[in-house]
Amino acid sequence: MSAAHLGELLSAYLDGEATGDEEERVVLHLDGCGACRDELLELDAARAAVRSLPVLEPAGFADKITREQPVVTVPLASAAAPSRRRVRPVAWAAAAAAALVLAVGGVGMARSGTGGAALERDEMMGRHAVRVSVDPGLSAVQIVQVIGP
Amino acid sequence: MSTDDAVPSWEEVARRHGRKIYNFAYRLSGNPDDAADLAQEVLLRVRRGLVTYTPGSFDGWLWRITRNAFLDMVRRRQRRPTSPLPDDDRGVGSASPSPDEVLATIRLSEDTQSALLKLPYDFREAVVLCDVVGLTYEEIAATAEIPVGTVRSRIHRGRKMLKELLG
Repeated sequence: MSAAHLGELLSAYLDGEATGDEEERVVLHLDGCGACRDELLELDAARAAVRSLPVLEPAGFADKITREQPVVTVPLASAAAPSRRRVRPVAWAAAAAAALVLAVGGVGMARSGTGGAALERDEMMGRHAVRVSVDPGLSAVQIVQVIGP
Repeated sequence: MSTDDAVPSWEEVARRHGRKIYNFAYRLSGNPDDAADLAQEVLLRVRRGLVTYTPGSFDGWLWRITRNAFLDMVRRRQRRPTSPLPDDDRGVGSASPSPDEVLATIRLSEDTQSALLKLPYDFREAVVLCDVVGLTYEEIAATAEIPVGTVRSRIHRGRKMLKELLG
């Protein structure tokens, strides 16, 4: 009978929170277990979905609290994760990250699509006014996203 | 990084942590008004607490305050922390999905947020503290006053549920 599958060890491994012994065990097991390799990729996708959520703030929040220009960094594949832990990247969605850069770059352009697409975009933009600046000196894209009126 | 040997000013706390506090509350509740109220409340408690705060693990202290304030708010409003996103019935019956990548990006984040809100509170909190706030498992354990093993389990189960919900 094969060893038990890795279960929650996989999440700890992804977050760099597994002990040295546990990591060894994970690597050895993954080498021979397609099911756990698949699960690792799926967990990584779920983790990435949350980690790439934009950092938000309500309109006027920065003025009330800090007076400084609100700017947030959206983590790309190569940028550091927002934590002090080691991160174990697995099949990172580099394509998605690149798409984000493109998408962000497209905001400033007034693209007139078909009626339906333009309307839907306007509705979304109304709720999430997005201002973008891309600093070529940084490895990450900077986005300001503001909720609501 | 927390400077364990200096007591920060309230302004520094607001500047350095205000946004994260807001996002913690927003990702947990899906409600921007509650999130804004929470951020204000936390900063108020921090301001009061700084008077008697003795240098130690500042982040731990701050996040315990934040979590407790959030739970207090939820109890006061007698609302389970699973408020739906505003306007989340948008797009039903609308034109076929736009190829516009900005739209796709924003929608993706809203899908993720919807999925987050469907998680049981304990799983959602663990995932948010890990992947939105960026705390280590040890820090999450100290914040939520649970063992590290429980943190690990909740994060894992939360992600598994998200994986199912996001397809």
